[in-house]
Amino acid sequence: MKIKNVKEFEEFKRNIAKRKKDIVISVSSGTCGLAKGAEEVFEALKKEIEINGLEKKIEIKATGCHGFCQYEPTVVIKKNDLEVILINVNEKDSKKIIESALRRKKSYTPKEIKEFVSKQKRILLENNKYVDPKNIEDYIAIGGYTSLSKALNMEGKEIVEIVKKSGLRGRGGAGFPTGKKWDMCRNQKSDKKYIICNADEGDPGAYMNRALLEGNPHLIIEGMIIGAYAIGADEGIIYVRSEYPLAVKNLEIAIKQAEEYGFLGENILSSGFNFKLKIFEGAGAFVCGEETALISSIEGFAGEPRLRPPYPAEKGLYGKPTNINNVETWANVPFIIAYGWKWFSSIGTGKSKGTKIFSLVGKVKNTGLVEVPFGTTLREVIYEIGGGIKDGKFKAVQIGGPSGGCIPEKSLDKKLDYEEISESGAIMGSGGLIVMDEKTCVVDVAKYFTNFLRYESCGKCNSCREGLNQMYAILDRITKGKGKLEDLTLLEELGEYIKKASLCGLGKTAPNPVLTTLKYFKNEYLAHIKEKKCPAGVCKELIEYSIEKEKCVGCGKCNEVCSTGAIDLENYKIEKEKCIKCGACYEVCKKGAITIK
Amino acid sequence: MQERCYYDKMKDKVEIKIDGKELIVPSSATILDVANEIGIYIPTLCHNDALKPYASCRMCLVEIYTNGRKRIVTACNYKVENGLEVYTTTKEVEKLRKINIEILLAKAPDSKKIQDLAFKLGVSETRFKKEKGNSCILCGLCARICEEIVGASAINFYDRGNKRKIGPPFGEPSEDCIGCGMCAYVCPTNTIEIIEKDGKRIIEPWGKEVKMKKCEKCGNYFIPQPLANKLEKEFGLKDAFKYCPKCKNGKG
Ligand SMILES: Cc1cc2nc3c(=O)[nH]c(=O)nc-3n(C[C@H](O)[C@H](O)[C@H](O)COP(=O)(O)O)c2cc1C
Ligand code: SF4
Ligand code: SF4
Repeated sequence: MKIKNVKEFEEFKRNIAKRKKDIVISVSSGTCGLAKGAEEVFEALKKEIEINGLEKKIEIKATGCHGFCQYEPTVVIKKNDLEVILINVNEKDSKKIIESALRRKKSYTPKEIKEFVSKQKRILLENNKYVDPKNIEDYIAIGGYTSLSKALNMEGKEIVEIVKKSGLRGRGGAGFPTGKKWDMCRNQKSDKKYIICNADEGDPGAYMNRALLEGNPHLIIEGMIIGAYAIGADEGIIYVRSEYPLAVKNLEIAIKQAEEYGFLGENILSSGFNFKLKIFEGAGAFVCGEETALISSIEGFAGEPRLRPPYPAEKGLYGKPTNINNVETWANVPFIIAYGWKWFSSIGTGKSKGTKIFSLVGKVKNTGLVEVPFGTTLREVIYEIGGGIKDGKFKAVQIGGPSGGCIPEKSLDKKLDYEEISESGAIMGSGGLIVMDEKTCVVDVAKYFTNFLRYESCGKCNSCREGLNQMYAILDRITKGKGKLEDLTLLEELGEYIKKASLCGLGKTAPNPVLTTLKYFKNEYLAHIKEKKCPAGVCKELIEYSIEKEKCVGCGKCNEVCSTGAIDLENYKIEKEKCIKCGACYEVCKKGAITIK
Repeated sequence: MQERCYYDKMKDKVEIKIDGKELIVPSSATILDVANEIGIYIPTLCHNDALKPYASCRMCLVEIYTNGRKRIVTACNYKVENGLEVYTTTKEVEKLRKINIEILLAKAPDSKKIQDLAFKLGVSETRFKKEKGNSCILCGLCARICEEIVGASAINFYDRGNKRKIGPPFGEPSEDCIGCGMCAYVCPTNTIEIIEKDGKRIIEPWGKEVKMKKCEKCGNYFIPQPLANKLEKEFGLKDAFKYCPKCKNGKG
């Protein structure tokens, strides 16, 4: 059904509100939920509702990711104002869940989730709990497309002004002021303009964008329509990596529905504004997330970055003015229009406004998607939201993805704020947070990221391609105990050079892991070089496994798992010549009798 | 004092400053164009005036200021703009160029061209691990000349990152290669070789073999057959390659 104008839209909203059922059960069915059996839970609950003839009373929906990744599948029961969150749900619990949903008189949140959401401010993610991404009416029911209807009544310039004043900055990494970018593109004279949503999300371990795309695609679409109207673009492209099949599917459905309902297409809500939206599936290279490489890739060329100027706002896709923003940036737009720039700019710090979603992974107790206002400290995120280190002691947190930086304990009171994070040598990036404990070797970590980046560089710039290769070679010899003291200065020089001499953001940030670990953990590098020791016990060439006679109970488990027969149980010895340092014995020994030196 | 522009009839002019010299230049020029024109030396490796700028070797780095903002950019592909200030010999730029050539020297230690440039920049040894056996610095001159000048597009880049390579598609000798050898002539590291024997020309490492054409008078081989065909066809030079140049001019 096509909604032709604002009046019809208002009436439509009233009608949906009337259709609401008493109880709504949502099953978190994002990629992570599905992997842990969300579909089975959903089916079991649905069957239970049908068996008991409760279809009129209870609505069940498969929603996107709720962000409690560690406790999937999770189920949220909403009964008027009452909300019950259930974690680690099993399909066998369906009967109990339905019964209790009917009886329930009090809200309930498990303590793990309470801790996890304590310091969060969930604006963008919150609705993932309530909308079925495959149903546009769900989105409309929570106020969706109301901002669009409001925006179409304003001048494009007015909208750009609001976004400018809100202080919204790009969430794709660089933090460029969004309103300013829109203004640049809006001011270009051209018969054709494009807008693009960057949903390439190539950082390993990061999935903030995926959660929004899968769980609430209309939010992004609405943001894009508003942006297109403000800028004067009539065509938009969502560039999604093909490794996100569910996101692609949900976006396809959402675009089709938005067209059917009249939010996309010709003369949207009788405003005279036309806009069409398409999906482009990316080929899966990390560098294709860089905006100019992304544009080349859509045009059918190799995914290699181009020199700026000209900026995409001047000459972008097919040489036309193009505005490109990240998924999360677009997702903020409908909220800013709905609640105003004053509201938005009241959240956050001096120059970083609003909230930011992080994917918190690694050695913390609670992992998952975390949405916090800018200005929250890393310590709060790791110790309060994350619940602290699983076991052992904190060592560092890598912020900003593979080309971010490693931040030590003493800097944990740094606020999450674009400028404050850059000062520490790291970058905000798109929001990856990897927490490491003392069993992590920072030299090994730097080597790991450098290796990732040397493969993921497009390979055009000598500085980036060969520079990273040389950087890797140096790190490799340090982790093998063959490093020299001069290597440290060489690494520093090389790092500065790669940053300055390379064309795009990849090369310009790639040395960050090395430079920050050198800055904050120099002693660990020195231990590898001078003492030929890896203090964290990670670098194979520098460690030795042995059996502590006093602790050994002679169970022989180590002997069973050792693939090379290096264990001499009679003499409590591990034969050096045979040991390949796989660490299997260390993992299997319950008595802690295997030690690393 | 403003120096005279070097083109008289310029449609779009911009004012720039390069190493303190104020100039009026055409807006279509790059920093390197301007520097070359007024005799300021900027080292290059992957640049060739006949080809589009590519900026892969990063040799031509310069320091620029636009609207008060400092950047390090490659001179070969950076278009001049009003108010642009360029510095070509700052300490920082010199340091970057040195380490850049050090890295190239490690990649192609036997290249005379790179050794010479290193010497010119005051670098005699590289502190980096030398690579053996693969001296291609991926400047792309071969692929670009093959596409832009020869018009054959027989070779191209493939893969990315440190696996990036240049070669014919799928690593098989290309149907489109006419054996002209232009790629070998422009290669700064002698990675590409032309071998001629038994009436054949082989271009390595592309593994391409083409037949040579015999002079109908003296019987010497003098031009790759596919190249002769292409020239005859494209320039309407019918029978132009019947005889070798010597015989044709009666000097045979
Ligand atoms: C190597 C590299 C990868 C990038 N990957 C992404 C990405 O996956 N998603 C994204 O939105 N931006 C990515 N960016 C940043 C984009 O170039 C661009 O700045 C961003 O899409 C602009 O949108 P924003 O202003 O909303 O942040 C990447 C940049 C670089 C250098
Ligand atoms: S810096 Fe690296 S990724 Fe970026 S253009 Fe240069 S080689 Fe490609
Ligand atoms: S020899 Fe072949 S590959 Fe080389 S430039 Fe000529 S046509 Fe291209």
